[in-house]
Amino acid sequence: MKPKKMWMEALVCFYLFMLTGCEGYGPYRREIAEVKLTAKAKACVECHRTKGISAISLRDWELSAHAINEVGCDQCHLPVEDASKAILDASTACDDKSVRRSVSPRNCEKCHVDQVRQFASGKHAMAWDILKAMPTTKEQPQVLIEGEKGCGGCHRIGRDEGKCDSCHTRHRFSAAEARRPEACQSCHIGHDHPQWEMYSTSKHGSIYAVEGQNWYWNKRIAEWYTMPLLKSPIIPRAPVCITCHMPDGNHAVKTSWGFWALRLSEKDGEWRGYRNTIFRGLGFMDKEGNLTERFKVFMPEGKVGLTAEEWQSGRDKMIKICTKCHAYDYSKTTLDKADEVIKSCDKLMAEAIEIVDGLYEDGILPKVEAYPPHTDLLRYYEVKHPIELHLYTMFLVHRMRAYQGAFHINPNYQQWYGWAEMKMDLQEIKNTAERLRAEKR
Amino acid sequence: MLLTSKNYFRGIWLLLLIIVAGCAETKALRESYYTPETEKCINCHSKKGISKSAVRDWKLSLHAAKKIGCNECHIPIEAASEILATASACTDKNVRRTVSPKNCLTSKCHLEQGKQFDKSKHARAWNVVVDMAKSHELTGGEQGCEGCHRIGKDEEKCDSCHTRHRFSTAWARRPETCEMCHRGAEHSETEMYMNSKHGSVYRLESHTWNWFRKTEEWYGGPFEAWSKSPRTAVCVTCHMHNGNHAIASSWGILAVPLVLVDGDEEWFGYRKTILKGLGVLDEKGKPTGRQDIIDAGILSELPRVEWLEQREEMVRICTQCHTKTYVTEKFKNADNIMKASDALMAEAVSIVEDLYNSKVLSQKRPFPAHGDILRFYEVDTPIEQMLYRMLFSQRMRNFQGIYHIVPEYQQWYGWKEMKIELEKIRSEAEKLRSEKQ
Repeated sequence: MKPKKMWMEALVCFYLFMLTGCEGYGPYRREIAEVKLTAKAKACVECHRTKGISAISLRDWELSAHAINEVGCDQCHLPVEDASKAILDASTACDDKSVRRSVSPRNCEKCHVDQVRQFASGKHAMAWDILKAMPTTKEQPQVLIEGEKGCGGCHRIGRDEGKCDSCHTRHRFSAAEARRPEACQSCHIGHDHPQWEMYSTSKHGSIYAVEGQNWYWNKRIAEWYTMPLLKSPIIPRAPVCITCHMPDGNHAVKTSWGFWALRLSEKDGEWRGYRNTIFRGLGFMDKEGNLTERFKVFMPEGKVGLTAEEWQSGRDKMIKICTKCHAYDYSKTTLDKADEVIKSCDKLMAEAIEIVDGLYEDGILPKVEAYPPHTDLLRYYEVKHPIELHLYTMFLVHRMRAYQGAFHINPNYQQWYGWAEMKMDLQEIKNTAERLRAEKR
Repeated sequence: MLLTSKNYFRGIWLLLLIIVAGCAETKALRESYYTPETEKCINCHSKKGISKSAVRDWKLSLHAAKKIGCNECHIPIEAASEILATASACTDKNVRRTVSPKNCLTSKCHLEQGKQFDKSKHARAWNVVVDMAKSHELTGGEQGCEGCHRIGKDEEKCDSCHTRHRFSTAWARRPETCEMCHRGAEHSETEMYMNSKHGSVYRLESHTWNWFRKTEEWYGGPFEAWSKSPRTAVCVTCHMHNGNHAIASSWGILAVPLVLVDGDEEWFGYRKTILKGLGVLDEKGKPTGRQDIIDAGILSELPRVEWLEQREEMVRICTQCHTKTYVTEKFKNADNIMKASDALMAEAVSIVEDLYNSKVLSQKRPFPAHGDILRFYEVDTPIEQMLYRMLFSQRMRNFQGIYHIVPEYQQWYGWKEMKIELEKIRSEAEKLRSEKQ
């Protein structure tokens, strides 16, 4: 490299460093200076320091943008009037009886109005209600739900109208941290939604693993690609979770296909047949083909795109994101092929559901008191017959992997953890059904 | 008042912004790597907003520094007939989205790497899918089998490892490059490596290593106290020694070479039984018509001398850090475990074969006359599924776990699972026989 050119490039990098530095290094600079405290916050800090109560979280807060902007303890921990009843009614361990440990998004909204409103219109906001509406939630130990140890630990993101700290960890509440895929990792991992594993081991994820530490995380997402031609190694070279799922930093996270990859509007007649079988398996549709009340709870209008137009607009937005780097026809065909994967999976899934339903209809499987005399996929693992457990695994573990693997461009998940396993599940369900019928004879 | 520290800093930002913005995109800088053809492409792509970020990636590449622009790759040369036959979405109808390796492998550029690659197992990856497609319902295009096996499509796909449009050699040297394909179900090499002692050292120290250095220079001066030289082995250390793109190993992917290892006839017998299960040998031990599979690289049919050569080469690599007695002993132990696991596998194959011979299982497929593990999961009975899992998941983990020095994979995901699976196969066979009576 010629010295002159190196000098120029160094200058460009320095310039970008300074630009990013404006936001990112602010807190470190300010930390040295005395953090200004309101009288109320000062009282909190002094008491907590003297008594040694969660003193480390005070340090976290001192490093936050909140501290710089003089947003202290009281702005968050004294719930505003319209905070959710659960928070207002909660007891407090603090001497000041108006203080609450849990913070309501209504407090956050006073400053972050756009983000809180966007969040409310996204899928994350539904997480708690969906959990509560599941037919078997009541059968779980409550420590797993209300106690936030199991299901509740992730689904809390929608609790009390939203938990911002699910992504912006306490007490730093860093936007830069929440932009990194690790922020999504603790929930979007494993079992029925291994998005983290899929992403981090895809080509996109490999690039992130190798280069990610150099990228400018302090920059707003909306500004990431505003200078697409600038030769800079600190502009993200591969998408991370938010590139596609929170474009422009929009907190209303949702996708065309939704969580289960079940769209209501379907032009393809064959596919509609498969999907209706799955809808029936989930209790979303009755035998006459009418949508049930349960459907409205789990796929509410407005939160989930139900019309063909809504689906298409989501897809168009996604293609627009892909084409920042890829050619249009490549992006389109890649996503189209992923749609095809869903169709192939739905075909296997529908066949498996029909087999198990057939066993109920012919009285091969004895009726269980607790649930309807047909497949109920929403009961998850709370079923009595081994063949139903198999059906659950096929639906919630393997079908999810096959379809999400296809969209996250991870061949291993699509093929080996998804498709191959579904094929084996179906074979095993067929064999078990045969054996059950033979035993009955 | 104007010179409060806040305003002072803002002033500096502003000044820098003006200076740098002036310099950054000046003609002088642009001309250093734009050829006129490339400039034409970039102007059009930025005006229409088509895959602009790819252009930025390219600017960061060595290609840009050497003035290898869009046209050198995206206008196929005459020899690239299969790419020339495809349609173009560009206004310039000479342009193709897919790049033919023929463009990369000219004598001016990467001919040597191309020649090496052609000898590698990677070059045969695509044939395997084509063959499998005859018996399997494959889905997903590049999201499915094709996503990994594309590395051998149209002869070879360089961007499987050297990601577009930076095509960095430094990044391709890192194990994350191999991760997308070499993980999971059948070949969890990445999980094994990352959890081995080699991998631990990699995870802790690798950010300080100089990845821009050629692999052959990594261990050049053994007494050189240069901390930037990798302290441990990564994938390329052993599998692409000296940057050689002809990736091969003595055992091949399924570890069933048709060679006598260490004069051990008993072990060779087990391997022959496994090869029968794979439909490569017939009941009399003669090769079947499945030569295409062998050619496709699923099975390595290396003559013994080559097997030994590969092993000796590996021993040489290990001895850069370890003593020869240690390395030889490790390989001896590994070979012993392989033999023990092949004994289990051969027993399982024989059990299923016997079920076919005694008509407990009926033949539903045309080929071969007994079970066929190469059908993978596309089988009719649970016992054949068990056999498939035992060979392709558990035996693979046992085998690869030994050579990647990960006791956990070898023992708990491999050996133990094989033992359990064999027991399941035994009792399922008994059940099938009693049902038949």
